[in-house]
Amino acid sequence: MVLMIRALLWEVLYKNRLGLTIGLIIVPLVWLLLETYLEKAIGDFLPIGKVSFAIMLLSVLFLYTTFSYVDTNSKEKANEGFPTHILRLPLPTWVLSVVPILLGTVVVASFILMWINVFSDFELSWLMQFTICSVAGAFISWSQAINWGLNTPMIQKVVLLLSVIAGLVFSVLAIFDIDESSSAYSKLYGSLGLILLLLSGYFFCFITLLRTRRSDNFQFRLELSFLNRLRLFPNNTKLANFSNGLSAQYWYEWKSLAYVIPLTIGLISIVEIVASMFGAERKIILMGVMMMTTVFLMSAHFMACNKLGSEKFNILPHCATRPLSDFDLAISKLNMLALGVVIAYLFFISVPVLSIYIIGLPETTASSNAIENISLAKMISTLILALIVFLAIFWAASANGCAILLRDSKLMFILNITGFMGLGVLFLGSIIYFKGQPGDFETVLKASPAYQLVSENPHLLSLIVTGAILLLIAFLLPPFRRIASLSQLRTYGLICATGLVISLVLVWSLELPTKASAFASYSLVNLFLLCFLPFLVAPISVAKNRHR
Amino acid sequence: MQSADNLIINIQGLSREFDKHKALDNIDLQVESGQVIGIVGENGAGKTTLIKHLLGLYRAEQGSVSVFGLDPVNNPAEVLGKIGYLSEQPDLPGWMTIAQYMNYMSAFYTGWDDSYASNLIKATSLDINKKIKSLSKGQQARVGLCAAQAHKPELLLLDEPSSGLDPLVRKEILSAAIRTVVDDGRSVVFSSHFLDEVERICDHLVMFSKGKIVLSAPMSEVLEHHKILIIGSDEFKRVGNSNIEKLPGLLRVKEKRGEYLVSLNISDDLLLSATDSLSLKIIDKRLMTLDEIFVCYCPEQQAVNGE
Amino acid sequence: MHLTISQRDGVPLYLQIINQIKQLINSGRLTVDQELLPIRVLAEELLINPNTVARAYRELEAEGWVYKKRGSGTFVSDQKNTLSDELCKRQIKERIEVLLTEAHHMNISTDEVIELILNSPRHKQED
Repeated sequence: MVLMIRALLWEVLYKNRLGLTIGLIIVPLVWLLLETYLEKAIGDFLPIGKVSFAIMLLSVLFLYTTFSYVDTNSKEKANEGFPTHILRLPLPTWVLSVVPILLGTVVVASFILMWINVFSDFELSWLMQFTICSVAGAFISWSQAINWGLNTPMIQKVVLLLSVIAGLVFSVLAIFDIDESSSAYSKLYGSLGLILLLLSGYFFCFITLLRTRRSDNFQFRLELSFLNRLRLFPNNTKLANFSNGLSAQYWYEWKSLAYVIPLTIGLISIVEIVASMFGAERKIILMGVMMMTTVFLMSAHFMACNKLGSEKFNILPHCATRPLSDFDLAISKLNMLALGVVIAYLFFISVPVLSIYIIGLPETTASSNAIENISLAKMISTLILALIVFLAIFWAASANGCAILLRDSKLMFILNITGFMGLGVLFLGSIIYFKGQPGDFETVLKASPAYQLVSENPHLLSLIVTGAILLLIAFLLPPFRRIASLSQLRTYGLICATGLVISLVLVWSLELPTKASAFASYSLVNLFLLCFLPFLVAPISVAKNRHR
Repeated sequence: MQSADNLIINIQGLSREFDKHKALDNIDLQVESGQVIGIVGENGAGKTTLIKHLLGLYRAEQGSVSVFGLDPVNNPAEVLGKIGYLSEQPDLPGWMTIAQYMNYMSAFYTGWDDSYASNLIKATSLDINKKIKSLSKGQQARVGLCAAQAHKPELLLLDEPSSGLDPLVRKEILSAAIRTVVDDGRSVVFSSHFLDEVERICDHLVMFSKGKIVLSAPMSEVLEHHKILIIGSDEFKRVGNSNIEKLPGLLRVKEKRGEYLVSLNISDDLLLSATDSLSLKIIDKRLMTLDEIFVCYCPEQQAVNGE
Repeated sequence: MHLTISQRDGVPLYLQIINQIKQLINSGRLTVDQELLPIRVLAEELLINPNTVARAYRELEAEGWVYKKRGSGTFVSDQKNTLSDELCKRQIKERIEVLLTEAHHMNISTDEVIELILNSPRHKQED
């Protein structure tokens, strides 16, 4: 039996050797870097302790996923369930369940202890260290248990996980005795609660595995009929009426992928609005905005992969054999992406509007001084311009990403990731910059990293113009004309041109200095060209992906 | 050659390489309407690659592919609209219910017959409000088969549809193929490892090995022309190995317990004149089964059997 | 008219159909002028290619077991009237070819075979 347990341990460790190595090495490495070099370089504007803590969290996350010990048992269910081949090993069930969790807990706990005692400057009591380790252990065991429980609906997993987290939080609060009003027993109760959670996690793992091994259907389905009534989930009984194949494909793209974008953004914005109702700080709202932005950027991935949760962009035979032209296949994706982005955008802008309605306008700051100097008409046109430009940016980012990802090549994938990283850095940089910048809009804009990058390298923008013109010319040539004729592209071109004209008029109405105005106009031209580019790129990508 | 209008599939000189490995090597194949073509070959022989070319999922690197007289890469909408397709792994969208799936599929095909489709689904006795991902492999294949034939396609492409399925579902697949040809001369391309099924339903056999077509002939001719002659070892030595090897249509010679088994692909008349000219005495002569023919043409299999 | 197909004994499918129909006719389960199942129906029922059925019907017709009516179907014929002289001779010829080949393999000359035939009890009975 010892031999078999050793083999089991070997499998767990060997299967995840990469993640394990990265997780374990990252902290000492960063620590070494910080000690020797980086402290001088970044110590001025970044708190070293926080960086170190963030790195630690990152590696714990790494280690956690390393030991999460779920396996892909079938093609349909990615990352679900206990690896079935292990269930066939001649070992008692409790060993099968305890070995991986215990291993994970021990590694993660000793890692945290190592970090606290060796690498960080924190001085923590043993009780505190014990608490942190047992929280980690309980979390690991419970999340394993939930992961291993097959066939349980997603919503139920979330509910279970949330209640466990709530239990953990209460226990920890009791131990640390935050309000210092409760008796000495609270530490005891808290510790007991933690241990209870830890043990129940193990027990639940064991039960789950036992049921799986005996192939009982382990289901205690909650009847969440009220959720169905809310129509959050696709209604199964009513069949749509399709006028043709293209409309059916629209339905397919929407129901299989695109609905996720507005759903996610909608859920985040509801949380945001509720948070603002309870008087949350502006920080939280800003974080929500960043999350939403991330979702927008991620939506390219959503739409380009062919199944939710899949990482692959190769077009599935089922999709590829639809009797539709390449252009129609691409356009059904793009149109549904557009629908998703627009609906999500409405949610997105509803958050600040509603929170301002609820909390009221922020108190006078440096930036609002600048606002007072501008006339109402200018304010409105700035607002409308901002709305249009943000939508255009979101669309351009997600649609261009989607269009090149549809090509399913490694190069395009790397290009896409780099592009998004760049965008993210620009965005973050801009936000950080704007936050600390007093003064009027123009000086802030001019000083922002995004502006500087573009104005110092105008050829970056010229690249887009040249690319777009070249692509447009390409569509006049026979091999491309086969993919999409210009008449098919006309509608989309007209929409983008209308957006461009409106925003140009708005920019000119702002009466900015000539140079700034010209620069803004040029940027807008480029932005709307970027909005149109996906309609040229996506059909080519689909054609390449479909006919290999 | 046949007039081009009559040809459902016309493949000429098709070659395809994956990482310098020849998946298809100078393939020529013509299919007339009303034919059932059986494609057999060892794993990785190029059957699926060929079928993917017919669907336009692969671009012809060398040579040409035309289906219904059109290039499936350039005219996917026209070509795919007349094809019914079922593969070994029917990758149906799991999140749809059966009813939604059939409704979705019906939108694409002009020839979709709603009452026929609902009859086909009823025959499977599956609950149409069930999600596809909750179905077993066989049940998914049944749903896929219903969708593949409900629009009465002019060409039914079955890419190893029977693999891993129970005999009942396999029978359903066969009867779908038969129904397709029986109804006003539509065509079927059927690739399979089940040689008895291929023998049953196909009227033309195409055998692949390592990306090449090693045999392409009407099924009846294949079965009648492939023979094994048994020759005594004295007689074999008298005639001489070199003379035996000159026999027309010789596939292989194998010694077994003092007798020689000579496999040939030859018509009766030619065989008679050849044996007469050598005045070859034959102990026994019998027709080869499709399994034996398959083993003869696929060299890897032969090596394993020979040991 | 119930036929079954077996793929175990290596008999070609069309021959199996021919043999079984002959048997049905001989045993009287198919009577003169009774219609055979249409090709499509039989093909769907047996799950075999319709051309195979068509071939079996064609050969049965050539041998005189059945006849075709234009626009309707295939019917069992009255063999005594329809089995032509020529056809009978052709069938006998085929048998003789087989016989002679076999004799040849056993080193028996054609003359010897003829002698054996003349000496056979059946031949003497006819005389």
